[in-house]
Amino acid sequence: MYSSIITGAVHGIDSYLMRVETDISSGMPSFNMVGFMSGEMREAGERVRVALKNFGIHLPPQRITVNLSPAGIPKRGMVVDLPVSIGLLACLGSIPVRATENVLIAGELGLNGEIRPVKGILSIVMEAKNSGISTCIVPNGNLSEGALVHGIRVVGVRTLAELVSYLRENPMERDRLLPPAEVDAAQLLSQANKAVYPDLSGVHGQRQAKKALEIAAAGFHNILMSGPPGTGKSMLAKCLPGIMPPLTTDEALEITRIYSAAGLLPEDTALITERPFLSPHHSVTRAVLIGGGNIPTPGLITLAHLGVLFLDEISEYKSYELNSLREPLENREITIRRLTGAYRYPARPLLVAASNPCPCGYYPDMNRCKCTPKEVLRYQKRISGPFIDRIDFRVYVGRVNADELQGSELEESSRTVQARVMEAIERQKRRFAGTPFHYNADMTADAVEHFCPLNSLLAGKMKIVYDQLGMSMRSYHKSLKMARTIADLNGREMILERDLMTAVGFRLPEINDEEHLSGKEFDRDKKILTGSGEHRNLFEA
Amino acid sequence: MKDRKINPYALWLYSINGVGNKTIKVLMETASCAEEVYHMSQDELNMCLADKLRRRGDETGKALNIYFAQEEDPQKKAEALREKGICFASVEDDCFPGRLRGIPDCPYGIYYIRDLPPEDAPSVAIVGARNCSGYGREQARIFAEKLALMGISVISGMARGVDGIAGRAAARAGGRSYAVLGCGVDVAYPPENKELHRILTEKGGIISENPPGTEPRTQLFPRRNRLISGLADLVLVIEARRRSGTVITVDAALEQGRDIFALPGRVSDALSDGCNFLISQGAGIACSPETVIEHFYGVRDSGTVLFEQKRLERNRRRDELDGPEAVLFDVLGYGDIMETEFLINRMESIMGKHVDAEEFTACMMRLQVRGLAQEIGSGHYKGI
Repeated sequence: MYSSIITGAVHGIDSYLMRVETDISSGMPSFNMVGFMSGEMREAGERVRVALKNFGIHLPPQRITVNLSPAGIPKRGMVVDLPVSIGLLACLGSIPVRATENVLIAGELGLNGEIRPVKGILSIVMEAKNSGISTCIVPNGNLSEGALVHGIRVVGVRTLAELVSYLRENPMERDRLLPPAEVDAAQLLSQANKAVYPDLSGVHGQRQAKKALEIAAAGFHNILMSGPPGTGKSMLAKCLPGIMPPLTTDEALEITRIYSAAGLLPEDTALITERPFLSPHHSVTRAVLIGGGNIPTPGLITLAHLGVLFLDEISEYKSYELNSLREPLENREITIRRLTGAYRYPARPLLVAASNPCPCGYYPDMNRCKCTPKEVLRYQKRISGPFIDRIDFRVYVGRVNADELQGSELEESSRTVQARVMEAIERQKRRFAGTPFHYNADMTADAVEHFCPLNSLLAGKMKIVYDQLGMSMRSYHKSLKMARTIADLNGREMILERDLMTAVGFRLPEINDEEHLSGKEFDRDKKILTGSGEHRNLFEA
Repeated sequence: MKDRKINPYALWLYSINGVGNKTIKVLMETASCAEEVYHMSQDELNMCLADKLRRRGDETGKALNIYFAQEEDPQKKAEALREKGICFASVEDDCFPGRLRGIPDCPYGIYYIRDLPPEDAPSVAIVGARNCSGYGREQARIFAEKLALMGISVISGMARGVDGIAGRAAARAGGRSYAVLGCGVDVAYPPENKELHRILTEKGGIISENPPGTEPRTQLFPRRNRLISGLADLVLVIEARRRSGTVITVDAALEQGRDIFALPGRVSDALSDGCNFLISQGAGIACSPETVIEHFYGVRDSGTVLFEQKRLERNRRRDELDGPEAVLFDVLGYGDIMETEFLINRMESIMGKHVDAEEFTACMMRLQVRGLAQEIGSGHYKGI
């Protein structure tokens, strides 16, 4: 007897449909599973044998062969337990073969016949829908997640017995037995509890840092916060997801898909409704950061997709790990290649890095800093240059004085800031309609010229600034992008001098620390000191 | 430039392995000059070292070293050194700095590039912290420039911070600038001061008691400090912590009977702590370069002209500004490093209204572009 059941498997965060073919024929009694399977998947045979026994069916002493097709892709996971057992039952005639036609089955099986949740159901159901499957049978624990997909019947089952009785039922009567579920993502989003992240109003003072966060959120600009220890860098970073605009349905589905594929979606959670916030420890490995493994699993940069990836103590990270982030940060996705294929993961987190300015943390406060100039330079140079290039701007987070700390002054709440950010993003959406860009930070150099026009007066001013500060071309473009965001936040289509100056003030400076530390003189300095003729004469008198 | 003839025998003697200032001193009790040592027999060498160095038990080794070295040709040695552009002066030579002859532990010889400080002009050593503040940086430059222009030789250690700045400023002003190194004269250390090293080989002088090619080693630097003060008539301390290398220089200077001047600073600044302490111990107070100049040339019409000049200059520049920039310019003052939050708060209290971070950042940038302010580290600024 032969039977064929459809199931699905995750590949990256996408899925493909897989066919479980079962054949029982006469010969030496054996149970063979073929089809490029990993160890845990191969063990399905044992689980199925015992679960069926406990269900009351003993496998006949015959030659049983199970094949997973396509056989060319390496497979892992427990998703085939259920399809294999249904395939066997169909072969044995316990279930009519026609009952499994156009039905996708996925789930892990316990020895007692209990059906347990598996990874990647959301993406599997999406793929099933695209392939024209009519019914998806998923573990009850994954039901809410699978039910996010509309236009396909998604049914949750708890036990093997329940599933068998469902399949034996007349197709017309099935819905009465186990009604298909449907979950509305938009509704879930609107009901989501918004108070997950600390509110910005809980942070006293730090006006410049708060403004910087607002700009980061509005233009999706990666940001570096620097300052002495204990000034609230981590706290500020945690506030950031709270001022980013609420997730749209598509964004929420995309994040949920990633978490589902990684097996990180909590049971009975339908949808991830908040932007993720991840802060790995600096000892994190490259594989964890960007994803890896023989059959790859998504890394932190993917798990933080559309959310915030917070790298605290950035100077402590090894450059090997940081440099691996460069490419995904540039391309907004990461492709992991293996012999058997390429796995693509979206990776567009808002990167927030924090660092101390020197080993002791107090530079340039010379009364407290005990580091030698060399140590300070070495510390600052530890972050690799190409990585820093991916960061758009820097803000200093200093000590807040006691007045402000205890002050009764009402601080702006995250909600107020979020409203401004949303308006700015709305503006960008209109501007970038029909272009591949979503946010100001996405703009290429050409696009910057086009979307950030400066009038002749401003262009002249920017030229002076460019020369005076010895800016690099890259820094120049970043400043323009930032100025664009600041103008957007202020509700202006036109970039004003004030926006530009603020942007330049926030830039990542190229040289001045080094100059200061190495004891070299500033020529600028000199120019001022001897700027007037009389001053020079004084020395010669 | 003066007589740059190298005494080949002195150079030969000074560069023998294991023979230092002490051994040479012993030898000179018997021999009258290095040339005589060159012609001594092994027995004579043994004899003359034996009495003094017996307790150490290394006289035979030293004598042997000298004896074997006699095979070398001193003339060739001198020629090789000259080819590198390096000169050598020993205490036997007239050109040896008279100021050094008088100090305890005077080196038998010194290597130098280009020139030595003239005997007939006053000389001042400007020393201070390596990681100096903006204040120290600026004052080092002002003092060095002014003193150099008054014809005073400026001696420094070419270290990071105050030393390097003073050396460079004096050279740039067209004065005489000399650096005393702890490594060989041909080694530019620290690397940041390579350029200064080059400038001084062209106009100025580089001095060291260590043979060319000596790599910088920690233990060499405190010894170097005694030469800095030794070559100077007066030691001017710009900025120093209470316990620092600069204080070692001052100790050496006091032992050598040099005058000490210190630049006063705020009592709360760790970097001025050493200076203020020196002042409390009786050091001269360097309120302006004129104070130091008066020390050499007598009272002149000086006072605080420089300060006044700076004030007028700043007033003139302030007139270009208006609105919040002018307020920020005043708040920022001159020379001190200040933090963002502090500046915003001060601006608010003066203007009596809310100043948002964006406005502040823009104002600060405008000042920076005009060259009136500068960002130090991140989020810290200083007025210029």
